[in-house]
Amino acid sequence: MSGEVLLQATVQGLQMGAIYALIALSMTLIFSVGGLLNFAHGDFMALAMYGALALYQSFALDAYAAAPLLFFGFFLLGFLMFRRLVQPVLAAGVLAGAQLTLGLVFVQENFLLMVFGGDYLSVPTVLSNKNLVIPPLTMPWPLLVGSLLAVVLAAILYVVLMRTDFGRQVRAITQNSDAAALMGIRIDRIQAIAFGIGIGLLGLTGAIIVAQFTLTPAMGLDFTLIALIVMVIGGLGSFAGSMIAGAIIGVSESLGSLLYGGTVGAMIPYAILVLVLLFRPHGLMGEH
Amino acid sequence: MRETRFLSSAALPWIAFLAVALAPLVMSSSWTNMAILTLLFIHLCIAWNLVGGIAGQFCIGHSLFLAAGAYTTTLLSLHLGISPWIGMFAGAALAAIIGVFIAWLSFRYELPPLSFALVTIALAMLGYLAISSIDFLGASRGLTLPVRGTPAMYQFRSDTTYYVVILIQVIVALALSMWLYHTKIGLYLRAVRDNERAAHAIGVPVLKYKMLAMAISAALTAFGGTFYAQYLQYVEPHTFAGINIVIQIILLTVVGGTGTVWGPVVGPLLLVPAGEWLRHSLGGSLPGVHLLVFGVLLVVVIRFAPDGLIGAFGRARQAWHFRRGTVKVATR
Repeated sequence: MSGEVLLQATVQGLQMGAIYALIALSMTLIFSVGGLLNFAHGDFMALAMYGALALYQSFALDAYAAAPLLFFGFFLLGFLMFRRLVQPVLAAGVLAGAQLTLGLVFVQENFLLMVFGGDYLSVPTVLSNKNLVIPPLTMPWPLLVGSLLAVVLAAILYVVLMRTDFGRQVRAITQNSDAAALMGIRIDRIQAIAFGIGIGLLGLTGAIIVAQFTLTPAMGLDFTLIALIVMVIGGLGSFAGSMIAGAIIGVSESLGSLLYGGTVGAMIPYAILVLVLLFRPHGLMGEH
Repeated sequence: MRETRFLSSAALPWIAFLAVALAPLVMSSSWTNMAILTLLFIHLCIAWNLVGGIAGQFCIGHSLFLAAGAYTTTLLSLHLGISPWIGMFAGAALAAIIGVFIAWLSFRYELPPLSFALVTIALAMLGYLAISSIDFLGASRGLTLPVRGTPAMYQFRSDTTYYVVILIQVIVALALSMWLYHTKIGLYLRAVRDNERAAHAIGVPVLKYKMLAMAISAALTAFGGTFYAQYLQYVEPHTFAGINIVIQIILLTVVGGTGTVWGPVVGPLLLVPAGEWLRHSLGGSLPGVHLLVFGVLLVVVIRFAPDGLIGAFGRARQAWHFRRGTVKVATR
């Protein structure tokens, strides 16, 4: 095994890691304002990817151009869905909320199966099948652009949470929702907006990484699990933690499949999660 | 208190259960198939409900126990010629050991809420990936059971016999679950579910009872796995170790009502036949459409009755009594 191959795999792992971190951050945003563990998270992103496919097929719209459209569309979808569906169930407890999202997994997977069929599909974009070669590295453009955009979006999300009124309200609810309510923060509204932004981000993420993936209706669950793993390993609500955890998972997955084959590579993130939960239950960077 | 009064006053669930349970004895074979599937899910839901409902620990790892039951018996029968009737106890024991180990690993510390769900889902995925890559376990192709064709080897000519077997299993599981619910064990488990700190403070050995619940639930699930493997005559990872079947078990239980005795019976009793009917009437038209309708149905029930149909039924009964002026004091 030459050093160049290892370097190649490491860089690719880091790029995947940035994308994983962004997916995990939108999951964290949703989790932090209401305690909702969204098992349908990856399925929303799969929905966005198929949305990009549909837009390409109907209007020849490139996925990168469709990204803002998908962001707003998914923001609305998330906002309305939270108001009409999630909030009333969440009122009965976080467990009921998690169970509802399991039901949504079922619905979305089969919706995609019904509309697009079970075959493997891909979405051609301006960047598809193009590589950036910086010897000794060969980087696929879709992955490079996707990961850079993921870092930028994560930075924007960070600034929004730290510097705007909306962000301060979100953090207040995360720390103590009763006190936040007493201070006049309309919790249900902030929750709905945060859910909308989380789902909207998934619409955006799905569009900017769609060129890198082959689409199948059941792909969402894998993304959900990776996002859960990154979120928990990073420590709930920790930005730096999620970025680091994303990098760890991306690199170990990529090196694992290179050195020991795809199945072992796929097992490594779960093994890391189990170990972290057992020995550092609050994550690498979480508060105790 | 509410539950006991509800149970003693309502023979309705029993009648519905027995009607569906006995129907296949006089009906055609496609009905028998559906009844077997329904009873199998009732069995699995009752088993999951012991941990996920009565003890309130959201476990997503039950595919491991299902696989333990299915694969252990298959391997023992394939390589050593041991009858699945004996093998199923080995499978159940293995599942119980795995269950106790997971519970011990996860509950030694006070983990943040819902992290049990994450540990178990991660372990389930690990198990699934391992089974689908190990050649001895048939990898992703699966294993076919040897045809021996004798009842002594858990193989029957007619589906009606399989049906009787799973019916007996369900009755045993239901009796066990009812008994557990009302004994000290069930009381302790429910105390843990409702307020773990308080339960610990008054001297409930929390860890021990969680481990016990996992052991019983895992062993019951493994018996279900054995039956399913014998009925299908093959095992493969997607059906027996995939996350999807756990999600189905959880959703069916939730629709019935988690943490109640009858919830895991009512959920599959209504929804498995409904799902099969949808498959027959819609399945040919578009792929996935019957599952989509089924999923929407589940979501709608969870939306309007987060505590399940049993809870909704109880509330409707109370409202009815209230209107008739024969109101009984709600205890919760």
